[in-house]
Amino acid sequence: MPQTVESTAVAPPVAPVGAGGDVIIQTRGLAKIYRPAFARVGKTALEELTFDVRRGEIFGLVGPNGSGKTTTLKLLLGLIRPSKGSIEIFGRGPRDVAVKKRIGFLPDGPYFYDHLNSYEVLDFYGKLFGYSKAERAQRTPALLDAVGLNPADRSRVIRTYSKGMLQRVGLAQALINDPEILFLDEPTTGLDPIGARAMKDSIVKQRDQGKTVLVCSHLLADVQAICDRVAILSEGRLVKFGTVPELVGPSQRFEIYTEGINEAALQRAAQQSYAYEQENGRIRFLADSSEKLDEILGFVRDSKGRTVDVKGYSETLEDVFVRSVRSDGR
Amino acid sequence: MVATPATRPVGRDERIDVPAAWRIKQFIAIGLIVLLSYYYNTVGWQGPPDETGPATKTLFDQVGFIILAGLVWLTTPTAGVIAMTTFQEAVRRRWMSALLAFAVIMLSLSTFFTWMQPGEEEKFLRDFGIGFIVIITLLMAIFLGASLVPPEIERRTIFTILSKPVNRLEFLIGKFMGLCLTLFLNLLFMSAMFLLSYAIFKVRREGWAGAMAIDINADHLGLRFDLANMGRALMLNYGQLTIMAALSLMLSLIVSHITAIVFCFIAYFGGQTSSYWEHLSGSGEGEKHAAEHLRGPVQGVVKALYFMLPRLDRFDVRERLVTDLPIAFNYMWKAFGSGLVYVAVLLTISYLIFSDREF
Repeated sequence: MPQTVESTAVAPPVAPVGAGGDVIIQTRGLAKIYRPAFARVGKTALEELTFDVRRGEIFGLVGPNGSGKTTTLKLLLGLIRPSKGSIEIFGRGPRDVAVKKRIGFLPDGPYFYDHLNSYEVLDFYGKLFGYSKAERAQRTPALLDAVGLNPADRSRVIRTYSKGMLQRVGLAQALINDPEILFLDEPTTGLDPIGARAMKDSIVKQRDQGKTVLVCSHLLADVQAICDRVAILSEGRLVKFGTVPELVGPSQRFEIYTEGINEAALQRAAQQSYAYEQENGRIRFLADSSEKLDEILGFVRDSKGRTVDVKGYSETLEDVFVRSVRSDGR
Repeated sequence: MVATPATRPVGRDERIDVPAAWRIKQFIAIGLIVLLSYYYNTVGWQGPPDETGPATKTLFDQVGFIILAGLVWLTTPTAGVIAMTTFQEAVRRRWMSALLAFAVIMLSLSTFFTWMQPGEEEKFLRDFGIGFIVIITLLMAIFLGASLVPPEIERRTIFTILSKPVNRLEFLIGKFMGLCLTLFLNLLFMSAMFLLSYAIFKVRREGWAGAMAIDINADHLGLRFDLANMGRALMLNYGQLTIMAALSLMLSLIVSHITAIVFCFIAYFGGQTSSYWEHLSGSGEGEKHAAEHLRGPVQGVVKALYFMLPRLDRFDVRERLVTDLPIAFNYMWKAFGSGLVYVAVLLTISYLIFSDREF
């Protein structure tokens, strides 16, 4: 059962969250302090981050700007070194070349060599993995097909590409080695709705093929739609963690639309403190729990009224996120 | 929990497994360097007629061989891929193409400028051609060297490269090798253009037999001598370019792009006048009288500057060209040997800065 770390905890979590299962990424007490040269005091970007990522899941890392999610990603990729704590990916350090052979990375707003075309860019990344000419000739067009890059655009140099096309090439280069773990930084940012949808479908497809995906994003609707588990960071600390249903919980708010409720019944409703509003000739009752919902439905039946519609509302990840971040405000 | 092999010791986490076939090629190349070193230590380089005999063996030369072998060993297939892409990227830059086109036009037309020095046409041609190539390739070395790594960091292309099975040393060596290849091919192209123009000029003026004739008394050493001597001067220029490229690369990792370029030009002019610094610091033999004027801390600073500056004047042999003095291979290797040591030091400093650089 995954643990949920509440932001109210005074001390940072010591036990790893998300432990259990086939863990392939493990961080323990990870901290990063950026200290400019000759400065005595540094800026803490991340403190005591401990979590596990399991094989075959889509793991979301969310947080406001400056919360430490990109720092976490850079630490996991070995682009920066931790000030404290440890990282293990497949049981090895993140700068280990053997690890890099098994991962793929799509950076936020990917940039490539301007003067190359998409085919040359992918060929270059294929060579870095030591693939033979025949392997590259087979992989490159297949990947460009898979990410939906129009064949007519492939011979154009990268600097003429739109953001969406760059993002497609970015995903293709991240997949060139058929990685076991895919790190995606803001994969849907800047994409049009169709492009964003295609990207989300690609991510889910990767998970369905057995890959592990770690998504870093501030687009919470996207994270809620595709992630299995989510870690919310705020000011460099992990403030909430869990599966999406655990975080957002079941429906907590209901609207009951009714007809045929007379004045006397409405007076009784007021006496029983039911919240209601008149709307287009209908009465809309509001219930803040499933018990209250049952009670109101019984009341409508007893009052000879008719229930015409019941709508349930649950929290969104955005609600949880805003609440977590606000309550963490230090 | 996934089976976790023992974590490698710190410092070995970036080790690259190089394919056996590549290692064999490296061993062959290193074997050739060893043979060359053996020849140097037993027979010595054979210079032109007036500078025959074995070279004076210096420590710099021996270290030069070791560094050459070291660079071969560090050039892994991945570094080769990065080098080729760096080359591909560099030659597709518009300003590079424009500069090369300008150089080619100027060199092709150089024979038309000989009216500027009637009677001295050949000397003018040699001075102009070599000088022009030196300046253009120097600009390429400094500007390309300073823009090898910083744009990769600014534009974040380095993120996707270092997240692939590439260690930072390979990246740096690859970028440097790519630049060296770019400079080499540009220099080769310009040199070929210039030497061809020169040969055509000479043959048209003196006829084939006249151009090839050697008459030492008349100070006419023949076209073959001229071309070989100029070829050697251009090869020496390549040594200077690699030093400037390595310096530019190192400085760009410490200071901003523009500052690195400015410092490079300062170092270039300082290096070109290194014999003057040697004189001032009293480091040269028979130069002690100059040291009398510089004492205490000032002399210390001048001495430090002299030891830090690249000895670029060793690579500039235009005076010998104009005065028809042969450039001996002995001399060239001495310049290359010390140049290799300087490049190795610069690359080592660059790696030390870059290895823990955070992006």
